[in-house]
Amino acid sequence: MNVWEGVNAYKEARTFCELWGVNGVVLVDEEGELVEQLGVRGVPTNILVDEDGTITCVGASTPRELEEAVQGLLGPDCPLEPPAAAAGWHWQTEPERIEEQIGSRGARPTDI
Amino acid sequence: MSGRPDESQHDLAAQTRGDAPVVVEPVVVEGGPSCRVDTGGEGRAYRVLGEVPVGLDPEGVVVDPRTGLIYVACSRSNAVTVVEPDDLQVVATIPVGGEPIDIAVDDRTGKVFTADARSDQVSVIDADTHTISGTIPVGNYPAGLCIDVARRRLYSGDAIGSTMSVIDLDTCERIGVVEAELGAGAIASDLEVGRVYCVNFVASTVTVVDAETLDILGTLPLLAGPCAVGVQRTTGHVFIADSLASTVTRIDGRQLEKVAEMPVPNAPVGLAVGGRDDRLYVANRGDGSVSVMGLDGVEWSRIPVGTAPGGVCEDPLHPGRILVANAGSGTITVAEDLLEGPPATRVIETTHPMVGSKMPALRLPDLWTKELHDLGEWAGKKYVINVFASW
Repeated sequence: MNVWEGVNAYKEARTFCELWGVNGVVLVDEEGELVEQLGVRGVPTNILVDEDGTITCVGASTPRELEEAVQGLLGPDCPLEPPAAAAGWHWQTEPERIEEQIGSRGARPTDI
Repeated sequence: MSGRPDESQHDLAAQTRGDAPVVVEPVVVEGGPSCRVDTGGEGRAYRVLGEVPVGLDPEGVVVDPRTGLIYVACSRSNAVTVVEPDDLQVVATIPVGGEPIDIAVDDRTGKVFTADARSDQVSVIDADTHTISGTIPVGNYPAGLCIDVARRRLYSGDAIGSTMSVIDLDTCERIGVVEAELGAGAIASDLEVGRVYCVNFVASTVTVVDAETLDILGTLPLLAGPCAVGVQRTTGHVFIADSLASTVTRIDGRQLEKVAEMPVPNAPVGLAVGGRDDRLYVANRGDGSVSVMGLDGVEWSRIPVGTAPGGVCEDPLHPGRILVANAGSGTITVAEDLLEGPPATRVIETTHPMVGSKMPALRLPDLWTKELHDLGEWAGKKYVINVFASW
């Protein structure tokens, strides 16, 4: 869920998602209505919700915290799989991708 | 983990979404045990003096010690907002280049500099007239600035160019380039021994440079996403905020050795070493707070600020007064750290108030299709919502 862009929210969020390989449903809370109701004070924030719609965690921003929170949500009978290496590139091991996508003058792809 | 929402701050934040800065009356919020900090007595840990709307996505903040004026780089407004410190009124808005991220002031010449990331330049503002007096071409995507008063230099961390530009403060010309690494941004200098530290966000490293020769003395690995750095004057220890690891790394800069990795609340993006040299101010972007930390990593207090804070500095004219740029709410928070030293007891962690509550019913559009989604459509499933912004 994208929040607080301030200006050109769809353009900025699409560029960000394309850059970092974010697929699937991305909700746009342009006015910050939902995050205010949820008491979210910053980004990144992860919100975990169980099957009856109850919030079980707000926060969990680091990979380890998120992994622990998701494991807690799923329960011991559903161990998490290792990170999907085949899912694509990693920003720290293939930084040249960032340079390629951002372009030679710091412009983002949708600026061009 | 998030800070307790404060109604007065929400009201102010709601006024910040337009392009034009809005002047509001300062708000005073006393901080103490009711704000999650147990000082062990009647004393207050902090006082929030006000939150001022300044523009879109403020990232950098600095005080001109000659005048006390506060300068804020509002990256999505492509402008610098100037705030008068006593009544917290906006007194000027100065257009600069594209996406100013960091800001620095040279009090000898009265120049204010901004790193204009999307223009590959540093803008030079005459602080006496609040007009642009020039621009300096630097490397690709400058994101951090540091003034070296001893050598009359300005350093610029050029993130996509993977360089550190060296600028003569008096002629405003680029006089050197140091090859850093991808994501070069925040910079700090140790004037005592003449070393410069350039942290590289993407590479997750810090490049250590000899300030005299501009030779690279070493490169140290860091945890993920380092994006702010400060130096303790007396020891030369370097403190680096690792935004994606939620830690502050402490390095002995003179020995080039890592000393400690200290956890902080959530996504530290800003960091300043306090003028008393005994504490750090760490802006937690994911938590809407600033941690006041001892140099050993113990959190002394946690000050609630606006949403998604980033740049933080201490007012050189008012020791203990801190200024925080809140990217989410488009504001700066002005607060006073009232602690003389470590409190008798420490910050109390609490569960976020929404845990155990039901998800609100709301319909929001999808980024790709603009089709409205009702959050209820995921009922019966377990799911995670990741809340993010592109900046």
